[in-house]
Amino acid sequence: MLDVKQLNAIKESTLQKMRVEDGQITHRILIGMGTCGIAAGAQSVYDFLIEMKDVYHYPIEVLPTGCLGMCMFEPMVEVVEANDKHTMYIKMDPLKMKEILHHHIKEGYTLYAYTLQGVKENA
Amino acid sequence: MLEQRIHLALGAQSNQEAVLHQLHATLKKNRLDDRIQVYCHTLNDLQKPACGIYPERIFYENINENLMRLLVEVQLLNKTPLEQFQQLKLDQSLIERFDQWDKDRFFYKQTRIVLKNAGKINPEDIQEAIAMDAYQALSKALTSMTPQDVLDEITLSGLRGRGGGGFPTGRKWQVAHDQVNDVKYVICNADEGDPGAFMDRSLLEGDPHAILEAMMIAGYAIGSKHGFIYVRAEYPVAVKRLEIAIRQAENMGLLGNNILNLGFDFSIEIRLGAGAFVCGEETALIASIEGQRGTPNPKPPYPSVQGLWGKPTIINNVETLANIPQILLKGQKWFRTMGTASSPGTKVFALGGKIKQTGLIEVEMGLSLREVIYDIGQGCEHNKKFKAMQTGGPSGGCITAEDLDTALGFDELIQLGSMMGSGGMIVLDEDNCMVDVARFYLDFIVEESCGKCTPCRIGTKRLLEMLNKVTQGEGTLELLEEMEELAQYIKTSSLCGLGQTAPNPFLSTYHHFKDEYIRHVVDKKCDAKVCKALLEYTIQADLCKKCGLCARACPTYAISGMVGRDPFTIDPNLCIRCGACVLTCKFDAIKRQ
Repeated sequence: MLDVKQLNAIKESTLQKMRVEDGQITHRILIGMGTCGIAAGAQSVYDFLIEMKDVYHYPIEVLPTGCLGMCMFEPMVEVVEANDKHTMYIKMDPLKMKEILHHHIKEGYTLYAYTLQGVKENA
Repeated sequence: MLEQRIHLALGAQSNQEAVLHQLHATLKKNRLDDRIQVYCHTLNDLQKPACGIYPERIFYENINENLMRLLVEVQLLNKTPLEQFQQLKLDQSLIERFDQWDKDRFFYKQTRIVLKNAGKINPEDIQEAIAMDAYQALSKALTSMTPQDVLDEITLSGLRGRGGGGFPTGRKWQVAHDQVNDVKYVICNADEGDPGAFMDRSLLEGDPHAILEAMMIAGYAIGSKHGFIYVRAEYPVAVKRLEIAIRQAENMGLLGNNILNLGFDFSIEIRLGAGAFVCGEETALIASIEGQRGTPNPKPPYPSVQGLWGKPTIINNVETLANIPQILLKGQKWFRTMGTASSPGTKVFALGGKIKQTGLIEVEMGLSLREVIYDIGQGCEHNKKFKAMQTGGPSGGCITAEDLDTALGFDELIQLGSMMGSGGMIVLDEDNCMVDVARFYLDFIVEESCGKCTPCRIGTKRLLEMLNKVTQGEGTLELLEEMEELAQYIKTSSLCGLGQTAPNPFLSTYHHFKDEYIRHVVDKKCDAKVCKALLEYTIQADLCKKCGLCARACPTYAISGMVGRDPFTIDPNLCIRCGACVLTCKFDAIKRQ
């Protein structure tokens, strides 16, 4: 049976994991998978990432999450790195995701054209 | 309360992130982190980090860790600019970029309390929810507060029901608490039926543990051991995530017997609704959970006194519940700092319709509707003219452009003849015919009327028939008067809240757009070009190039002429006003009026 002390212990350890600080995993990838995201095709992005992770052993954690509120830009993918760095990619599909895996996860630079701001500037 | 925003631009090299780290650390040290929002952007071509502080529009470049610390302590804490470091020769294109970033107001005009975890955590993992403070409020309530303390905190916070009515939550709970009964129930109302509203769905999908925790707190406050979540079966993802959340909480000992080893028992069950709009009404919802037909019953007795199976029951909307853990954790004074005196806190809205940026937003009460539409929603699509905003679903009403500067709040919207409702906001532009909008909502109501009382069952049906007549061009001025009279009868003599508000779509549009109704019945014209029966398609002979494309596109062969010789004409008797010819014509020769 869980008590208050254990609850706080879980909180601390999970927070550490969520900040991507322990080194095992370098990127936390959150996919907007509310009903709006799934309707826009987030499931294929999710399946693709899971497959890539299993086959090529990327140091990433792939997680479904809820709706962030910008339903018109779904499927949205948020890449979280250490030091609280967030990058938001919008209107994703498996092909674009492949580029992001290569450039952002492997080589470490942001693909500005696919981010929220980038898409807006080019529009 | 967010006061300032810092936009930090970093280059691609990873060593620059130390600046961001320093910024977060210094903000936290000076307790500025809830007043200042940090936005970090990455630019591949940037050599040294730069930042812009808004709304003052002060820019600094060549930032290093020491300067960052100085900046926070001098500029942000004491509000004095660092004269010697202010770099005015900052690249103009970079300044433009900063302005562009800041213009993206979708997020910064928002205050996210209820939605703070949605989209940030994995809702299928209880540990992530716990990391974001889930179940902390419950443990605080169970260890250091009596049920009366909890009730007082909620009452003092001034939280009002977010489902539409705006009834003070604290008072509802107090009544249920004061009832002497060994069995009491807590119900979470997630039967969201308004067209164009999806706040509850997103909340349940994004952060289900907040709802479970709030129900347990409610149970502790009123002395209940059992809760129901009534969610519609049309939300399969929400139901699945709720089931996972309940199972995980049970496995961890956060739900069930002896919660957190503190001697409190609570269990939660999910009940699926079959998607009847009327089951969002609390007495109908109770009947539906009991296994009876979902029809409302007269109040009083109120559910807080005699509800589910005759026991005292509190029914709260999903969003109301999601506020509760935050209020307990941060205190009612903190909650009171947001919003207006009569409506404290925030409200989640589903922004939709003819607007550039649709989506789910959470704003502080007291923000003007203009800010919601033009800053967060960025105005109407294709730069069309804003006509009205429909709030509150079928029970609500329209708000016109003149009233856009009204502050958001329960009482303020009722004064305008609309209501807060559960939070659907549908923006209408000049291409929407208000008669047609009223017809759409009334059609919905006729479909969803449960049929128990006559005014709602027959009255709304007759009202819809009359509205149809108006859109068909068969209306008269007498008919409009008759409709208004009928609407008043439905309003005063219906049994439940749904029937009493059923004629609102008509009454509100009739009140604000009377000239549009009169134009429909007197001139037989629909200026928005929506009502098909009132439209007329003509081909302008001088513009017609006699190509014959329109005749080929016409599904009813209503267009005749000779290619290359005679201009084409439309036979109005055969024309079904589908508009296919307008789309085909490359010379804009076909006029619709």
